[in-house]
Amino acid sequence: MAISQENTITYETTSHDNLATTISSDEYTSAVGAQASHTEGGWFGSTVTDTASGQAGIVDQFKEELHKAISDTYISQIKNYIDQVGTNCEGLIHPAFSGTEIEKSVTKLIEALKNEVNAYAVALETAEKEIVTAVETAYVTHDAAVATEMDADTAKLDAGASSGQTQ
Amino acid sequence: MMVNDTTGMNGGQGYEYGYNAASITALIDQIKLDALTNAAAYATGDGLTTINGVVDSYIDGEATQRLKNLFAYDANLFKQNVEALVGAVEIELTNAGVNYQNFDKNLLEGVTGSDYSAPAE
Repeated sequence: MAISQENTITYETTSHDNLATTISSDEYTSAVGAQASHTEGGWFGSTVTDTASGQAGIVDQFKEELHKAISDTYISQIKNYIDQVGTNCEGLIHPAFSGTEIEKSVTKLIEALKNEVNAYAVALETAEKEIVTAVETAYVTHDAAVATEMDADTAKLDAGASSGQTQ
Repeated sequence: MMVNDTTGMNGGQGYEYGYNAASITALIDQIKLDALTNAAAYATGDGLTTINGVVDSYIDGEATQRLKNLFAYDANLFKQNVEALVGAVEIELTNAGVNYQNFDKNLLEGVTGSDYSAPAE
């Protein structure tokens, strides 16, 4: 079944507001690309059938695996590494330096790194939501296009059958 | 003033304030290992590969690379910010270490009149 309808997806720009380095929306758009086009087979291609139940299942599976990869694995591991900064620094700072510039600098760094990871996690969470929304939207359009074409095919068949009956 | 070697962080070579240049270097090296070699490298390396694997499994066509670019961009931004933070604290720690070293040295020389430019044995 040929799907000719094209669906355009626009990503919202995302930036780390509280980071040491900030980027403009234009820079982000330029780097990421403003649009992702969905054409026939574009999003899921051969991994999904044209049936509505098949699409719903694969979208849910995609959402689940993407979330698991981002939150449960990726961000969790980065947070573990950042926690190690604090733990290991603690072991290297002599008690005599309590309250000194050295301890303050390290404390400030650890806090900043934790903020950085949290900001990164939020940015990825936002990106994840946008991607999932884009995929879901693409499938709604995809479903509608399939349904429209099926209706058209059915109408043609009906018309042909009707024509055949009358001939 | 007595120099107390036992409080030093580097095998008894430190001043009584528990500081010497080697201890600051060790601290900076550890920060770099945890924050850069582990966290930032994972964020832009193996960790990113995991996410890209999901994208590859489910998304086809032009969108695949766009999504990978999106994740890579955020990951690199994270890495750059971590590098900036570590770079800043390295300067702070180095400067603080120099100040403490001078403080120790000046204090010791002021009291004893001796040259303590090298760590006491």
